[in-house]
Amino acid sequence: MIWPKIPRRGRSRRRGPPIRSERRRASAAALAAIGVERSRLTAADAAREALVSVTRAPLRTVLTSVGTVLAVGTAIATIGLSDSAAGAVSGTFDALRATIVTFSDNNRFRSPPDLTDEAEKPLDRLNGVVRAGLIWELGGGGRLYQVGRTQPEPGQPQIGLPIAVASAGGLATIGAAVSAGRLYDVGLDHRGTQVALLGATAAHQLGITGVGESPVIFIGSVPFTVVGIVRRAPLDPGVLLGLIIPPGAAEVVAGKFGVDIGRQIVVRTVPGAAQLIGRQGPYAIDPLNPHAIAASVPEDPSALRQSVNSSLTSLLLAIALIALGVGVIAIANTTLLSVLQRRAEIGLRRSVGAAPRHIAVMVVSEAVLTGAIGGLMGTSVGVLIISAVCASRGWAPVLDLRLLLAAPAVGALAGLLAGLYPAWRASRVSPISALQR
Amino acid sequence: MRAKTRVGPHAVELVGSDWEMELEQAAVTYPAAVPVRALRPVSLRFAAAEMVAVAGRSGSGKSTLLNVLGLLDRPTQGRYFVRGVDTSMLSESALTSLRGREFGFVFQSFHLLADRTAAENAELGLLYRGMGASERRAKACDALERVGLGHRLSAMPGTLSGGEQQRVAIARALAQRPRVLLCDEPTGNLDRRNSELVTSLLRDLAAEGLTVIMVTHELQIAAAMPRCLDIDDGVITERDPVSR
Repeated sequence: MIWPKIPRRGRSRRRGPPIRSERRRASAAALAAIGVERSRLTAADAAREALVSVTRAPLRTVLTSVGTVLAVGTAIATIGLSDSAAGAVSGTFDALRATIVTFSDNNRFRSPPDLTDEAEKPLDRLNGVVRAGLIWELGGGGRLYQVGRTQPEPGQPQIGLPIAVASAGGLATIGAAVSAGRLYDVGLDHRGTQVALLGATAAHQLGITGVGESPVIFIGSVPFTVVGIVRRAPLDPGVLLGLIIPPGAAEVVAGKFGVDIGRQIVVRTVPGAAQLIGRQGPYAIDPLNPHAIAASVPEDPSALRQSVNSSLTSLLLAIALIALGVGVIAIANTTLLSVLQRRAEIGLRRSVGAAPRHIAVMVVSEAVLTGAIGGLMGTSVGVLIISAVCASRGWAPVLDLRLLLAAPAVGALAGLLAGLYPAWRASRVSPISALQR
Repeated sequence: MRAKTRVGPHAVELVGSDWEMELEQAAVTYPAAVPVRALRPVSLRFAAAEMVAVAGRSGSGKSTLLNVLGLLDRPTQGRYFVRGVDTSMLSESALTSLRGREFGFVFQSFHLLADRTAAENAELGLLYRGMGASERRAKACDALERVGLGHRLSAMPGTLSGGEQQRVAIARALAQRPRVLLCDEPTGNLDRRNSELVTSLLRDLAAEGLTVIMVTHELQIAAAMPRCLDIDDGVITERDPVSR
């Protein structure tokens, strides 16, 4: 026998079998001398074999991919549902809160006040304003309220009701809607007609169910004809507890039976315009002295949303990673079981010329393909869950398209990771022991 | 006298040899508390187109000999030459390549892949030669034709009889165009008729130039072979042709 002498980096020499690379070279040369080529498996054949194995044993494939289906499905459903819910919440938030700007007078005792229904017009003309309206509360003592058609007699029962003053624009801004009668308009307001709206709660308290008989309510000695009963005012539900009168008519009773409290113009903007309107509004109301007007602008929702989204994304990422980890372990476990069950096949392949690396490639390819199939199935399951939940809740389904495309790739990656250990184990299966079974 | 040459920079011994396979004082001992001597030192030579029976009781070492000859196992002692190449020096990868090119295996329990058709089973060995799919299929079909199963190309193993399954296994070995066919009890799971059919097929293949080494415990089949090796407790003896 001829043992080669391998120099060891010029320091010492040893006797014995050649090191691995030298042995490989010598072996290849020996085989070439008798015309034997090296075993090889093309990538196309490896892929085809994996496809055949996966498709010909559908039950095994489904069982193996269950982990990935659950992991990817959970991740897709969680992310999609959170996005959809966030979209729905954000929409409501934008519509009701982040679109409201209020302007008030820095000097509340100024006379005449800057904030009149005339100030609504320049605000209405600003780009981004949906509606602007004047609204305040008529407060103070000495108010008498009486239901009836005649002047109240001293000693008659009196009911205290809060009085809100709102222009026609103000009513529209707070989203007032009537259950009976109608809202007063700009004409009635400007003419100073003594009309009033009664909040639904106050109407119930007074036993007024309709306005067909034109009920009259006295504020002090001033009669107001009730023209409508307000059933909802989402932006200022407090008005449902009392009386709403137009600014023109309020002048008759102000000072005599009450004082102005919190006079303000409420502006509803389109989503995203609140910050800008808050800056432009004072100039539109009083161009000569804009600093006399204070604007109350909601916190920029984009920053809040970004913060919320960031926290949510981190949480979802953690959930998705945990789910994926579970998927990887599930695939690895099932693939390992599959390798143990297929020892005879592995032994057979080794006996007909498959090198250990070919066996490893076979196992990994199948795991990758199974993972990708699991990813696709998981994506479908996730989308179905999102659609069903959104349909039942009336949300608009929101899902990043990139996520749908990435999910099978993530499944394939999970398969790759899961297949590595079983592939290593499979490549070490001895053909003799495998074939003896 | 054999001429020795060194092949490659650090040498695997390659000797000029007329023998297909040659065992030189080869033995197999499995490590255990009391080492198991599965194959005692033996020197054997096998020529091309030879048909050899290996007969012996269960556990006598027949399969160990077949594993060593088929490069599924290495002798723990001595040397084994295949076409003059000293296999003890070959890397695992080279051993696999040599096994895939030189040897075809036929097992007692067929070892067909249940989810592949007869043709796909027959072309399994060719998969590891980097051969095109159509060429593979053509060779597999030829092999199946050769064993009389040209009409069952698309049949799944579960739909084939035992004899047909063994013939598919033989076709799988033949498709690789091996020089040596190693058969481990190929008729062990077959009835008499199929057993005769397979034996006859193997005889024909030997006549065509293939070296056939068949492990069997059936004395009749062993006696009918041109050369017979008896193995008992790892000791191999050549049976005298006259005594048969």
